[in-house]
Amino acid sequence: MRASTITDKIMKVLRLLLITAFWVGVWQVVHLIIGRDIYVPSAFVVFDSLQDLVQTREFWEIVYASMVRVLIGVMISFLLGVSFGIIAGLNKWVYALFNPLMVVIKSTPVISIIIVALVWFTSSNVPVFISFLMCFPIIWTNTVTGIQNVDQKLLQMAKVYQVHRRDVFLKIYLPSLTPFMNAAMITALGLAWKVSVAAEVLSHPRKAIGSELYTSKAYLDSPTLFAWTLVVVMLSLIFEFVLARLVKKWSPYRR
Amino acid sequence: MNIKITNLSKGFGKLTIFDDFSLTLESGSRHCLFGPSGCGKTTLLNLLAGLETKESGTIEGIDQRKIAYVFQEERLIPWLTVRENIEFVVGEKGKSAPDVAHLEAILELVELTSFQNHYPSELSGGMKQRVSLARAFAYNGEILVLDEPFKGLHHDLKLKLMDYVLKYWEMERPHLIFTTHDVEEAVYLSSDIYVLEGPPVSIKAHTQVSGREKSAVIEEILTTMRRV
Ligand SMILES: Nc1ncnc2c1ncn2[C@@H]1O[C@H](COP(=O)(O)OP(=O)(O)OP(=O)(O)O)[C@@H](O)[C@H]1O
Ligand SMILES: [Mg+2]
Repeated sequence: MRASTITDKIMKVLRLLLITAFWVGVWQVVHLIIGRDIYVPSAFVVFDSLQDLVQTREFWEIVYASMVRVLIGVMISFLLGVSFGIIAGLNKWVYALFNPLMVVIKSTPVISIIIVALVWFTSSNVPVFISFLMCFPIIWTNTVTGIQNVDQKLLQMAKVYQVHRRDVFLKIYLPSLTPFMNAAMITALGLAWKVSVAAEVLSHPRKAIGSELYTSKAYLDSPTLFAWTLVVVMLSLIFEFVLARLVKKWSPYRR
Repeated sequence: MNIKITNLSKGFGKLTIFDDFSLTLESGSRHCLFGPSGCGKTTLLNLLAGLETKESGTIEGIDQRKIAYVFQEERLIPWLTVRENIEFVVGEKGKSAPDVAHLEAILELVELTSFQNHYPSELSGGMKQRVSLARAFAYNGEILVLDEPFKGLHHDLKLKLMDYVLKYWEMERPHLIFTTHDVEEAVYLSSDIYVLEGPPVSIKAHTQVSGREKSAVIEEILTTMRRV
């Protein structure tokens, strides 16, 4: 590695630390101005309770359980969203048929869907269903757009040269889809964390970040509430980071 | 088999490109469509290849499954390498496995052997054009359709590729149909030159090249073009 890239890295880390310090400072100032721990607890108290949390075995079990729910929900919406999206992208009648459903899902308040889902599913499955349902239209829409944006000139070329449909699909359609998929997955994952935790707050699964949020609120334990919220933010960022890495690896341009 | 176009009509919106157009392209000849930009050459090739739909008329004598087409733009798949782009059209068609030696000979011919693992974005315009030509050669169609195939190529390589097309034609005797703006290219490569004008397309002159002094043919074509 060249020296300049090392200094670049150090600068980057330094800048990140400074920015973090600035915002923690802002938080602390707000805390001092408000002067009530219940409304805005001190950053240090929150970090303390976060530290206490991560040392328990239960914390990791809870994080794991919530993570699995998010992942299952996103996986299902990915599989169904891509398959249905491809069909709808290729056939404008299917598109016309499904589009209103997607519009309805997208504009229905999450809370209404959560409440209905509480009736339909067991508590642990509600968050899974909610993250699936919220991500599905995003992935579907992006897949449809991807299919509709496939370069027609390449398709004509493949047609003239009598290329097998399987190869056209694998070597033209699928790679054209990947940039749309990547964008969709990043948006979907971020959203999935938020709606899934919201669903957990209302459905109280036995091990769930949302259930912990609910309990801390019930006991007016603001530091723990904030600590769990920080956990969700961090998990969401970590997921996005890992996904961005994977996406780079899977990009159709192998370099 | 001759390619017979009869009473062909085709337009885009209000613009009429073909109005009752008829032309017979005899097999065993090398046909050149020579005409100004925008007159309808590409449209004619696309109609032959079944990429455009005609409004009326008939086109006979073409097996659309056996056309090797060098498009006016390269139409390379950006995420496949040079070699993969060529393999894309020769893949197993239920019959023979892709002929590696043949493919390598073609890469050699278009001088792209050392670039076979590069992606199209890493190539110059002329190099991409050569990949597109290589793809058509590798396909071994009965009909070879070339839409301004040598544009952007250096003179020496152009001559070499034209010689290859001629050699390929001698061996395989495909129906050869190509377009160009370049008189010398037309005279060098073809046996029949159709000077077109339009739209709507009409044939201003049909010049036979074989057995004649090349400069005389060029003179004749230039005279035709100057006539209004
Ligand atoms: N898809 C299309 N939609 C509308 N008009 C078109 C379309 N394709 C071609 N045209 C029009 O048809 C006419 C003939 O086009 P064509 O591409 O066949 O010309 P050309 O002879 O190949 O020209 P060039 O030498 O510049 O390639 C042009 O006037 C063009 O504007
Ligand atoms: Mg053209």
